[in-house]
Amino acid sequence: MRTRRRFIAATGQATLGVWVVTSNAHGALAETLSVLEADTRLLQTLARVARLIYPHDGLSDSVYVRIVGDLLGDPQNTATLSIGAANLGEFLELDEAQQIAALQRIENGPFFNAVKTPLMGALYNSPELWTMIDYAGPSFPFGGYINRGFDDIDWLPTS
Amino acid sequence: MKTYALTDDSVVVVIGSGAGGGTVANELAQQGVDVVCLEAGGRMSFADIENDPPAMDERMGWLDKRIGPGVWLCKTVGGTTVRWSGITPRFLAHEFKARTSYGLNATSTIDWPLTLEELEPYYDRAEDKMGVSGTGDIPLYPETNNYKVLHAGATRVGYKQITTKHVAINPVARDGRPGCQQLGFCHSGCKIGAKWSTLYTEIPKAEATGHFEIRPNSMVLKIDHDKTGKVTGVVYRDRDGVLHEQKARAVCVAGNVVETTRLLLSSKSGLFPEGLANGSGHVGRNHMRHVMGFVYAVMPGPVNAHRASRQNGMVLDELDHREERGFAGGYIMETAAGAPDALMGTMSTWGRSATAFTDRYDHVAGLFVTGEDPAEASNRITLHPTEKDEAGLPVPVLEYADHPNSVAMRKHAMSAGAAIYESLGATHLYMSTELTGECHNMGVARMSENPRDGVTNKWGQAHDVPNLFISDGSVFSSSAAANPTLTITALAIRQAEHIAERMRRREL
Repeated sequence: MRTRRRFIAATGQATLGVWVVTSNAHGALAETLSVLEADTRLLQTLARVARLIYPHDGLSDSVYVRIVGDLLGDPQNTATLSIGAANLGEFLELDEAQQIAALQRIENGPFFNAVKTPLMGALYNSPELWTMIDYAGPSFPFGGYINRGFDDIDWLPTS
Repeated sequence: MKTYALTDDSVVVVIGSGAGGGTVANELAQQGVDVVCLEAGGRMSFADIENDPPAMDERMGWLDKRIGPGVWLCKTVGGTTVRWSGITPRFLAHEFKARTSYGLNATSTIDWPLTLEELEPYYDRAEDKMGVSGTGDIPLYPETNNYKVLHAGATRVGYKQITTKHVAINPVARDGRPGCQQLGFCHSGCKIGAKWSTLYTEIPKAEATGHFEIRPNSMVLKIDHDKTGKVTGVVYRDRDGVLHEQKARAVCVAGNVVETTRLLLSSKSGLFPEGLANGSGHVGRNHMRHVMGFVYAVMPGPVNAHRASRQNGMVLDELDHREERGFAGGYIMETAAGAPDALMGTMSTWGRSATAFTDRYDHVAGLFVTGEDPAEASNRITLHPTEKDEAGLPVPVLEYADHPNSVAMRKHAMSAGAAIYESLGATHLYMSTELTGECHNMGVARMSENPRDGVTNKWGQAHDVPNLFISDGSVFSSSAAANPTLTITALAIRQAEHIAERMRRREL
């Protein structure tokens, strides 16, 4: 029933793991560290962009990191995301208002939508978000809401 | 189960199995006419339908490559009746006379070649078939939380025509289908069959007649004709990629606007150089999507709108035509709700103005607007001259731009919807400002009195090809305001009666 959620959770973690292994396989420690540092910075930038697109104070950074890590793991996205993040410059050093202004300038471009569209699907189907907003997901297993409050509103004015 | 030979040229071939194709096929079979229905998609059982929107979009969505604005169609037995919301108001008398009622002389708007009066008996039959709430002896649909908010707010701002009539979801068990359990996943297919869909009504009923065969996973590529211009059969590709030709006495096309256009244009020949039935040049033109938009509101108390069917009530006070509003035609406001990704997917904004709604998800009420969309010849579907999809078919290209009338209507409708929720103390409001991804689809093979103005006559029979019929929303001469499925179904019942009668008289 929750296949896609397990998929998202699993691939997010796997992506980070694979990077560490491949980096180590390259040999030289310095190179490994610089690759890791660049990857980490890219990941942090994308996670920050993701949080600014759909900011939920009730969600930890790890949720956004996992989702953008998953996006980066798809070779089709790598170029768009890397170039887009690089074009943001010293994005992480800006304050929040400046970061939002920077994103508003590119909101109709390919990079912004390459983050926003898949982020929407992944974030709003994530177990963390569902828990935060008390969304139960599939309702057929418990018989729907016919006896669970589909018409229980009690605060409306009577006139 | 009845099967027919490929060489059997006594059958009527129906292409598509949704509201138009599924209905025309069953109505023909009920009258003893032999029918072969070719459906591009697979056939799902209730076990295949899950409360899982992304998975179901993959399973039943029409995902073949297209260029241009999105269209909301399905490739599955039952077509888009598997995914639809179930809202079924009738069109109004003045809407059938769009040109006379509205003017709109700079557009390609025309009057329908038929009247409400002619269609009324078939609306009665369609409502009975579909189990529409508030018609016949069927009760009104139950009032959900989201509807109660809409009703209270609409009443405060002075609206009077607020109702849970016109919902094709069983309020109580009827016709072998259960009453609605308020699952909340109508757009992923109704897991219990409370919402009308040809998948579990028309198709099995047709099979029970012994005059019907459905072949799923059968994509029709071309309609063949003889040298006199009558159609003789269709070429289709089966699930293994093998091509077949099914002979036919007559052909009914109901692929929804994109595939109906692609099939007619792909069937061009020496006799029909611009495409089959396209002597007027109107095939693919006048694509109408309805003026659409969403209003979402964070209310002062919990609503939990998602804990119920998605659409289940409406305000009809803005449906009439009133020139003083500054636009032609009218619109309907209908409840709207959905899973978190559906809510965000219909909002174009981002940042805190978007997450204000998901952070208070349980407090969100919502409505959806559907309104009259003027016909314009430039809103059209064509085939890409060189680009092919995965199956080697020319990629459809959609071009669509809002008419100023639509821009004015959307603005009016968004303010009207917002006022409903503001009257109850909404703390945040979202209003669509532009074309949304959702749409109804109408008009690419429209009915016309004059063969120069359209593709079919008032029976959906092609002006140029006597034994070719169009049986889906493509035949709409104007869009009217209401959701199109009831009208598609009523027209299909009427068309089947006409075809069977013509066959009895040996005219087909």
